[in-house]
Amino acid sequence: MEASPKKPLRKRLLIVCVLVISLLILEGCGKREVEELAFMMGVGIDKGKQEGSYLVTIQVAKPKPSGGGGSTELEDWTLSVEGPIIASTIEKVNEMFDKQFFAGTVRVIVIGEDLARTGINEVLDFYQRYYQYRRTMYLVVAKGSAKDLLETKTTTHNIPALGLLGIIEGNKRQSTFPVTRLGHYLTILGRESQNPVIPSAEVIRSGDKGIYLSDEKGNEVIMSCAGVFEDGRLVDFLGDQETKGYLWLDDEIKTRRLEGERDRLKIVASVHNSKTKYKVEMIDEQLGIKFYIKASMALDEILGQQGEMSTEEWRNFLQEVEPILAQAIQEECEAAVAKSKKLQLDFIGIGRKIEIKNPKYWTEIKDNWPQGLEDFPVAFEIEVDVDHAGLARNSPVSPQKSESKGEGNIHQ
Amino acid sequence: MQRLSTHQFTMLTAGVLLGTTFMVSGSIVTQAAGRDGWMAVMPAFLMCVPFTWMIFSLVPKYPNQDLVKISEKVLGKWLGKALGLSFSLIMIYFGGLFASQGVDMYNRTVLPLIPHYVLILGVSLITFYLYLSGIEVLARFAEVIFPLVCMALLFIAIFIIPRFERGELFPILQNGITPVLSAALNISPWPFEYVLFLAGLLPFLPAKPKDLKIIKVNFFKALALIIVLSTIVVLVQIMTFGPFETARLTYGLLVLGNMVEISRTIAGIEAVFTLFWTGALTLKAAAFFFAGIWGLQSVFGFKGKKSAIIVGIIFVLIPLLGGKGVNVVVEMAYIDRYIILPFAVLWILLVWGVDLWKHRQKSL
Repeated sequence: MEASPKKPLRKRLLIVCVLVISLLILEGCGKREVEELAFMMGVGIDKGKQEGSYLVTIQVAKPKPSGGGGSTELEDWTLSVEGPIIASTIEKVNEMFDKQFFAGTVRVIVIGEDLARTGINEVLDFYQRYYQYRRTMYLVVAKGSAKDLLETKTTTHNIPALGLLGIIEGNKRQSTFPVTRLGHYLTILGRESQNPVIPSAEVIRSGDKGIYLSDEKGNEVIMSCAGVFEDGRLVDFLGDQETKGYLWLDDEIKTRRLEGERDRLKIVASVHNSKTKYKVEMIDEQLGIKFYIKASMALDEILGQQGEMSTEEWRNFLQEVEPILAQAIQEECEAAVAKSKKLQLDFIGIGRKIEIKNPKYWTEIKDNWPQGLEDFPVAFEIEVDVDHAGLARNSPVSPQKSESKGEGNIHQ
Repeated sequence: MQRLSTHQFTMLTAGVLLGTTFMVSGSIVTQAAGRDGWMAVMPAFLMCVPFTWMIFSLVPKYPNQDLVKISEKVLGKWLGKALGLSFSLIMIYFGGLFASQGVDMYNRTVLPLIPHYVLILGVSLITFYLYLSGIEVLARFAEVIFPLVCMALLFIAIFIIPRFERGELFPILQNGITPVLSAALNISPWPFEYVLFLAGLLPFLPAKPKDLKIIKVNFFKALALIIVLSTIVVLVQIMTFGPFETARLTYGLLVLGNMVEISRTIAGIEAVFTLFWTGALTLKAAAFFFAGIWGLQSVFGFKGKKSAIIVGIIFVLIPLLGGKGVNVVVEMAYIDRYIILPFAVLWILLVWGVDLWKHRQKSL
């Protein structure tokens, strides 16, 4: 191997000079300074007033001038523009705004209900194509208009889009609605047998849904339930029980509270951990799908328990509670399956699951899918394990009452 | 003459074999084989093994000579020169297109407004610098760039795990093995790009016979590494996007880079990855430039820097005056399929076969 001869000092100096000059002339970021950018946080899309037009709501976060020190507060700047093409609405905004919009920070896309019922696939084309947007953006369907949702200032967030983001990401702690990112929606869209599901959000006022706000004129945004889509069109919303059933069957329950009830006994348990598996097997002499759900829980609240129990009785009581909770899970799952059969839309992905487990059988039935869903056997095997019941064993009760009523009343 | 160490050869082999194939591999294999596309990578890359073995078998018989000179000796002066000239033209033209592909990559992702010429001149400048510094510097460049590219790919593969869709790889082989073979055929020209580079690299390989053995082993190590890496890249794309979406995305890996989120604040770091991809792109473009000039030197007996400057100007003009965007992607696919693959296969088979026949004739 030959050693390379040393470069003369003049050559080295020349290279250093060229590099230093390059630093000065290569500005980067398309000659835009960061303070010249307007960071978009959320986008809302509704049907426009004109036929075939869209009303695009853009929510920008801008730093609030502060006296220095501490964290920077953000305030929102929201405006809506109507136009026939989504991409050109941004251009329109740029004509009246001195900052360049940066879409890389958009985290939530809200779709108005009217537009969702007409179809969203064309609308999403821009967001999956333009390089600044990310496929990790969350999709939300507004019950009502996306504009109203993005203009609703809540008590916790100045910027509604960030409020929505907080609720969605908080779902990691409480699985009560599905989380759909743009990338996930597009993946499901690419499956031949499954319908996408997008969570829904709505504005509530004090008194709605049993929620009372300190400011009676105030609003809050609530996310629950989900919309089912067929060919990009919103067909129907799932109810609370159906949504939760879908989450069980899609193995998306991380933690949540579950209510079980039998006679006068009401139990609330928090799910710590759950796993849903499935098999394609014979059910009533016909091939069907059986879901195996395992969940471990802790009791959070017991209503209707009377009397004091010994440790042994308490263990028996917990064992008796498990089927009640399993029944609650089954009811949710059955509600989801019933809705899927009623709509004849396979939002649970039963067809895809059959394809994975038994591709030959899927080849036989896929031409009659999702119509065949109606008579397709679906069964459940649910195993609930109640680990503990929190800090106390028995519910608060006076010793006299416990003695007078006796232990026989414990198991209702 | 500069000679490569066995380690430098391995890194250079791995770097040129990989090139920027990871950018489009997911899309191409899933278009043909759907969710089984990841299985196509191994057979496609293994197709080059017999041809590499044929080239290596000629080295002890024709020491310090590239395949162009060997062709002249085996096939005769004019046929050898004609093949050598074709080899050079293919290498230079394809190398120039590589720079154009880099522009397309940048324009679609992080820098849509970057002028065409900025990136082309940037890549060309580094390529000329590497050429003027010699093959050893190119190998050292590969020693730096290739591990960075590997790390970047593995980084994406690990941090995209939370975005995996369940069950996208199943059922396996639902449509049988035929689509997988078809997908393998679609990407089979890629390792032959390296085989052509190797044809020119022969005089720079270590001269000792025991080193040749090590080089053969190291070639297989590099090949195995690239197969594993490329398979992971395709697997990750299928598991994240599903087969339908993977096939729909031109540069699936760039979208993956865009989706990496380490935390709320550390997200959208695709620009960092793009630097590594540019390194990989430059390495491969430079390898083609080297091979092109080696070929011309062997055919016409050029020496010195003047011929390199003339070729360099042509090398810059090809992407500057040629097509842009999707045209380049399509053109590269056509050249790969209809020129590089058949040319490499026929040339090597012809030289190796005739040489073998001549030796047998002599021994009879």
